[in-house]
Amino acid sequence: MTKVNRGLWGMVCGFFLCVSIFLPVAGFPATEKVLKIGAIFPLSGRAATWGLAAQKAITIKQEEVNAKGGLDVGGERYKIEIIWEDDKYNAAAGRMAAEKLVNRDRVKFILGTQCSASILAIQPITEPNKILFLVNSYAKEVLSVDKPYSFRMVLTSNEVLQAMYPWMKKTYPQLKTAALIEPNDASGWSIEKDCKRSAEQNGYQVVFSQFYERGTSDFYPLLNKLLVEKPDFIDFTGAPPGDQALIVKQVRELGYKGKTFAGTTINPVQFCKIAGVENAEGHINNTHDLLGSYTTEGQKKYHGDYIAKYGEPFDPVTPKYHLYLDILVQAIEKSGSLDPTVVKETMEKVEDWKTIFGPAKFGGQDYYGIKRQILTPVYISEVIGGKLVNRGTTMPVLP
Amino acid sequence: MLGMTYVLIASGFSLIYGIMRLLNFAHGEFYMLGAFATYLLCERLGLDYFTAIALSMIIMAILGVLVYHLFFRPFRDQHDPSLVIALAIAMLIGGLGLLIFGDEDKSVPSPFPGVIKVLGVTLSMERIVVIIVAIILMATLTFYIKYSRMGQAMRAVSQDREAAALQGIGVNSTFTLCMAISSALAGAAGALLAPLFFVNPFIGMHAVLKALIVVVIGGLGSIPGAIAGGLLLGFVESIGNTFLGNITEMLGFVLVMVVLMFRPQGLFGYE
Repeated sequence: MTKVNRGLWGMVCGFFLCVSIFLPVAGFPATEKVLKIGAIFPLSGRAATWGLAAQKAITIKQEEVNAKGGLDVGGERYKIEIIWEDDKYNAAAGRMAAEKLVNRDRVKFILGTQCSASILAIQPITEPNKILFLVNSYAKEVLSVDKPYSFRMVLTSNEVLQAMYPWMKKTYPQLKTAALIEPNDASGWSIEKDCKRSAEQNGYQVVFSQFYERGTSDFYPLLNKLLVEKPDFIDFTGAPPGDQALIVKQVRELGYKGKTFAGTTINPVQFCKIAGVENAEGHINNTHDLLGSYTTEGQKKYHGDYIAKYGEPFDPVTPKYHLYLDILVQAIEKSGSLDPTVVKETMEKVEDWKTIFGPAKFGGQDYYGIKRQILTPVYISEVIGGKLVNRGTTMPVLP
Repeated sequence: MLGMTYVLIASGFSLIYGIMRLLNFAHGEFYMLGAFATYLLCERLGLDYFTAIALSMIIMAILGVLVYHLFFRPFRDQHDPSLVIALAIAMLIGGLGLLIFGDEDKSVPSPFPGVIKVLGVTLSMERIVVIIVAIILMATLTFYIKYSRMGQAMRAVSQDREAAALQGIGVNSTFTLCMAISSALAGAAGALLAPLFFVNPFIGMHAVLKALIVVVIGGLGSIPGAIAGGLLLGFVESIGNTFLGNITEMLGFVLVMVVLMFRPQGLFGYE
């Protein structure tokens, strides 16, 4: 390489080096104070539907706060910057993401993820470092007395099913037996225990329970075995949305006439396209049609904000993820501090959070051993004619 | 039907290894792209299903040829770089798929709705179509490789590349054709299975893992081996799901270990 070429390459490399060093801090003007918050969610892979739904809801809240001038922390304003990391719904990637956020980005607050295995891998980093970790996954082990900095921001299958099963019992008293299908991992095992317990507490006999590997598309062999037991309804609460639709489609192809049930949210348009409108008829789930009955003013506003930002169609999976940043912002502003320990203490004390679902609080002292489980109303709907029909709402009762 | 699914996906994978000695980890992404091509042709352009399958195969064949000439050909005789390139292409196509098509599961309307009962067994019409089309494709491939001039050329190149070249057989043109056929088969698999399941950018990863298991069981580079391996794996997994439940997924790997212990070249592979 000639001297001129070396010089030229040196200048080009130097230019890009400068850009890469200074560009990350170019997002906000130098005078603005910024609060960096980490967010670890499955942004790719099979669970990306959930992770990207969370990203949409959190971004709506972030923009709302920043548009008002930012967080008010003891009289000072902080704009919120979210550093997004993809855990690909697995523990190794989640752990790496957490190490980067804590050690390199120096965040004090992390939002995330739906993967239990990922959260359990992240907590050994966040807890000793006193990082406030607002989590999502369903595994019971995620909350415990030795994890005081972890708060769960969504209702788990435990809370949802504690509300939905009594509703099922009241609405469809003729149903007596249940079959359970769950993914074969930490989330699925935990959810299966919740489903079995809720079913048995409400007088249902669980006649079949089997796990399947994530990535399975052909459920015929499993369903053929299930149908031998003739269950009155099938619960697949832990299955991702696409798998749920496939299970419904394939079980109807095999001639099953009973109810299908999942204590999770679905996108009804997507669900019916995969499962087929006729096959999806009567599917009971935990989604709320924000344009239907039982809707709060906060939910209506959220719906409007969503459509303004992302356009139609509205994704009904997203609203529950609004709680993450909504409650964190309230907690920081109430505590007047960015110290995670002070914010944690505030979150322990407040009994009346104002959310788009209405008043919410943290509970679960008896069941989890520590009061870290968010409690919001549970919504129940059925798919009728390809659309969601709201059937009711009730507060969860934790054992 | 599970077995035929694996056969369709694995046969192209095995063909590439047999002729080109390349483990094409990007093969699963051609399966994914074939499914998306069918989705776009049926849903967006309103074409009928069989036209969409044919076009998907042609599009994947062209894409396969482009990938070969742009990425694989420069590293043709280098084993390790070829492997890395294949992995990189798999990740690139998967990432581009996510960027372009989004993360949402999409569906292709079933062209053959309804079910029939055969000897007490319920089968959906679309599954029967998959089985029939897969058999036709496999039979066509087998006859082509056995009796056609280009098929003979492929077999010659797979046996001894230099000797084949000395006989006037164009190695590059043979590889190009092999890549085209293999990609077309992957595209056909994606097109056939799109109405049965759903389509998203992540379906390729699972497919290539199954393809790898099937070709190891059947024998790397052997089409009859891919057929036997696919049917065997499908059968074992169906039986496993029915009688063994949760441990079914590891049966494929157990099968691989057993085959490797007693017949390392695979059921139909060459020593």
